[in-house]
This record gives sequence, C-alpha cells and structure tokens, in this order.
Amino acid sequence: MNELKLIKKAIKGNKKCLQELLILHSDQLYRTAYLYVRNREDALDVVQETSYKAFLSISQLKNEHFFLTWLTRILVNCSYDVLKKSKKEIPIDNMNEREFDKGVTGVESLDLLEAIKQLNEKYKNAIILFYFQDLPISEVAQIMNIPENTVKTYLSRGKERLKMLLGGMNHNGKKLISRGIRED
Amino acid sequence: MEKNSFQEVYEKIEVPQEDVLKAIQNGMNRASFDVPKTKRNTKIVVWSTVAAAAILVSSSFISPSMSHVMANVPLLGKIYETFNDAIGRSLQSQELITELNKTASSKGIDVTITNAYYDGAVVGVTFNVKGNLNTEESGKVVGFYEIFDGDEGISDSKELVHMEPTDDGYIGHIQLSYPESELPQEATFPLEFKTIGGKEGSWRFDVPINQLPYETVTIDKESSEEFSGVKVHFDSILFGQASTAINYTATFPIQGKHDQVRLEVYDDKGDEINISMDGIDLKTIEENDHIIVKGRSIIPQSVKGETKYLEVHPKVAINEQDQFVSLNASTPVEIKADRQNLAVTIEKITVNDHSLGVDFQVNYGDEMGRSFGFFKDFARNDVLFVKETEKDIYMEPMQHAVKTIHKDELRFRSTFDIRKLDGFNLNNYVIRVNLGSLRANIPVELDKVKMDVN
Repeated sequence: MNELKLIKKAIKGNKKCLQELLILHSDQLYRTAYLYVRNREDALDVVQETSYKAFLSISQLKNEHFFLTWLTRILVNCSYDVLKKSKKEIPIDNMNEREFDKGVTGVESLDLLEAIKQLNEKYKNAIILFYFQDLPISEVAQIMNIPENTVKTYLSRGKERLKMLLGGMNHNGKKLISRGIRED
Repeated sequence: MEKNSFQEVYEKIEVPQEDVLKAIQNGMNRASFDVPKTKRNTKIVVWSTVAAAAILVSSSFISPSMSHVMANVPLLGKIYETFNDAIGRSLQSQELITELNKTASSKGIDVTITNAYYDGAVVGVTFNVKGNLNTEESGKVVGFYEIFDGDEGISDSKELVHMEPTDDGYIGHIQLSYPESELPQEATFPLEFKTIGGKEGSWRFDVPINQLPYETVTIDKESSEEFSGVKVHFDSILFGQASTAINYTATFPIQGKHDQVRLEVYDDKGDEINISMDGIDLKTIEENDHIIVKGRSIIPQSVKGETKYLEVHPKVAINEQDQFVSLNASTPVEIKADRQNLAVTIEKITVNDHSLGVDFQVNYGDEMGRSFGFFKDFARNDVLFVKETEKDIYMEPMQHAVKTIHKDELRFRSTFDIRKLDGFNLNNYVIRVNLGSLRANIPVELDKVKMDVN
C-alpha cells in the first residue's frame, strides 16, 4: 500500500495504518529527536510522546499531503517539552557529565552537533528540519509557521553562525554543507 | 568531518531500532487508554500543539491555525495562503496584485507567470507549471531558478522552489527583496527556471513589475557604540501597502568586516513586530579604514495606523578573533575581546603527570542576561587545549571534563587527559579561547531609536 493510502486510512481511524506510518518514519523521528535532546533516553521519550499525540489527534489531520509536516511539528514540540523538563529535573552539571561519559554513540561529528546545540532556537529549527531531516523549505515554513523567505534567512544566518562556531572547518574545502542551496 | 554533509551526520546517528519501535507501541497503547475521555482530551492535545507552535516562533505575526494550514488544498486563489506570504495575502485582499499571463515552454513543460507584486522593496511572483513532471515523494515538484542571471553579488539569486500540486498542474511562489538600495518605480527582472521536476531546460521571463504607491520618510537618526566602533545610521523608512522597509547604513571599523546588524522592532505598546528579512546587505564598501554597509530590513506588514511609532533596538554581533594562552604564562591571564566587554580570565593552570587543569572565569562572573547553561556550554566547547602547530585547525576537541567551581561567578575547571599525547611539553601546547561563540550570542546593544510612523 502506498503512503498516501496509509495516511488516508489512518485519518479515518485505522490504527494499524498509523502504526505502520510511524514505523516507516521511525529512523527519522528518532534522529531528529536526538538532534534536539542529544541523548538516547530522552530521544526515545520524545518518540513515545510523539506517537501518543499522533494517535490522539490523527483524526484532526485534514489533508493527507501534510502528514509529515504535521508529525514533525508534533515531534519538535515534544522535543522542546522534554528539554524543558530535563532542565528542571537534572542539574545542568550532571546533564553534561552524563552526555560526556557516554560519548555520543556512533556519532563522529561531535563538533557539528555541539555547534547545532549552541544555535538559537529559530536557526536550530530551520537547520535541523531543512538540512538534517531534508524537508523542503515550504514544509519547514509551515512547521515553524513563518514565511519561506524567513526560513531562508534563518538558514543562511544559521549556516553562517555554524561556520563561525566550527571555526576553521571550512578552510580547505569550500563545502561544509552538501545540500547548500547557494553554495555552488 | 569536513567532507561530512549534514545528511551523513544525520545518517550516522545510530537508531536503537527495537527501542524506537517499543516507544511507538507505548505511545499507541497510552493513546488507546486515553480514548474513553475522548473529545475533550483530543481538543486539548490539538490546541496545545498549536499553542506550542506559537511559542516556538517567538515573534509570530500571522497565525493561521493548524487546521487551517492542514485543510488548505492549494488553489490558485489561495496561493499566498498556501505559501504563507503575508504581504501577498494582504495585497490580494486590497486587490493590488497585477495579473500577468506569460508562458514559456520547453521540453513539453509550460510555465506561466500568473501574478506579480512589487510593494516597497519586496517583489513577489506566482506561477503555475503544467506538463509531464517528476514529483517528489511528497507530491511536490522541485524547480531551480535564477534571478538577475544568477548574479553572485545578489543573495538568493539562485534558489530552489517547491511547487504544490493543484487539480491540473502545480503552483509555485517566489518572494525576494529588491536587491538595490535605489528602488526603481518600474522594472523588469530576469527570472529563469533551469530545472523543473528533474528536467533541465530554459524557461525565461522578464517579469514586469510596477512599484505600488508608497511613502518614504527620511529618518536621519543614529545609534552608535564607542567601544566596538560600530554605528548604525537609519536613513529612511519606506511605507508600502503591505510591507515596511527600514533602510540603514552601518559603519564598522576595518576589522569588523563580518560584523552583523540585527534589528528588533517594537510597537507603541511594547509588542515586538516581526521582521521577515533582516540584515539584507545591499552594498558594502571600504572607505577610510571603515566598512560601510547599506542594509535593509523588511517588516511584512503595513504599520501605518497600527502604531504611532516604531522603536528599533539595533544590535551588532561583533566579529572577534580567537586568542591563545601559553601554558607558561603567569596566571591570571585576562583574555579580552577587542571591541566588546567580553572576557575570559585564565586563573590557574596546573600540570601533573597525567592531566592538565585550567581554572577560568567567564566575563568576570557577569551573565549579561544569558542562562548559566549558555556559559556552561561555552566553558565546555570554547576553552580548549590544543597543539601549538595545530591551533588554527578546528578538529574534534580533546576529551575533557568540565567542572563548575562556582556557578554564580561563572568559574569553571577543565581537566584534559595528557597521558596519551606524544611529546607533550609546556611549549608545544596552548589554550585556545574562542571568543567567537560568546560574541555571536551576545551582540553589542546600541541605543534604541524611535521612528514616528505618522
């Protein structure tokens, strides 16, 4: 069954179909959550919350073409909820040590991820959704509820800042970003 | 690292498959327990999502409710809603959009420019595409276009555009800020699509645009900050029908080539007004040891009648070089930003057989309105121990532990493991203090400037 059919059925209340859709996107859900919360346990919590909210509100989705936009918006919100909560519950010292002890499992590009963390919220959202999650600008605009041109502004600002944060990373080769829309 | 694209980094994040599936299952189970409470609960969830989305975008200017966005099947008449273009939407309701019907055909694909507007400094174009096209998985079509023949001096002159499906084709939308400080009343701007739906070709237009009636008010107000040597002179405000442009001239010292102006704008009630395009650099010149930048910021709404004045808070993110401290230096060593009140004091350096410890204080303990977490991140990432010969190469930092010595005073201790370093001595390693990340997040704030609207 293709994805659109699955979405249509899910909207009509077919739970199996929604579950299948979430599984279809599960890598993406986890990875994007991970970019925000930066540890495995919290990322899994975000996935669970997202799944919970998706099941509760799928019937509200009016246009099946917007499924991924809708789901991502829920995911981003859940990520911030979890971040807020963890700020309250864990002293920041412990949180950093905890991440440090574990290392960032399987991720070599520590610098880039660290740098992303330091971006302010709007640039971070734009960069994560566009460059990492690979959503088109129009969908990033809808998720963030801002015009497309603002997304572009945020992307170029965010990129500029990332380059700055990453310092000399860009000295030898031109491209830091493969999907640069104006890099070439 | 350098070769890694974002995508590669993304793909490398290991997914604990089983746990993720379990998390999805758990969410599903919890939801089915909640069902008896049905309607009320559903509503709360949906609204809280909308509310959260509104918070996410701190400066929300239009808020089509989520269901509105979701319900919106792209129709030509609703194109500005579809692409979330507030200026286009407002002009459409005032019937100020010019209809054009210009078609270019190539490779069996017809592109028709349907509408255009030119309000103040903002230009918008809508178009539709018909023909046999390859769509993305999402049902959209991607095109690549150039404006002004892809002029490198113009930002966003080469872009991708995503088109939405309609009943008989696709529609698309481009918005840009006119890339000159002088705005012609009538102009044509060259627009060429080079790829549509995976097919290469050439669909070229000279889009005629006529500027809608507008009013320019000369401002001549200035705000400067002595220490950083930056000055922002507000030249004029351009009141369009559905947009407002603030034109300014910023002056930086020669080392401030990468300084960056950011504006925040508030109305007479103290509410922030959203800026959709900030810090558009129109022209940069070097003159008498200064960098002069003509810049512009766009507010995507008409402010006349909405507020008596605009209060602009100019900020400038100052470009700062990284600095280095020798391990032999007699402590304390103060590392100060050249043009801003930012500092890191290296208070003590201790070396023993297996580790090197650096005690330091950030900003003399002044948080400058930022959270402690921000400084903790800075302490972890930006005070590092590097090989002298590699100090300009930004590699993955050496593993180290950061301990907070005194939270309120922003005092930290970083401990680096030196056991595995070959040939370590006090002369071939240095401490690198990256003030860049402090200054990027703590821009210099200039005095507010009030601009009358009426």
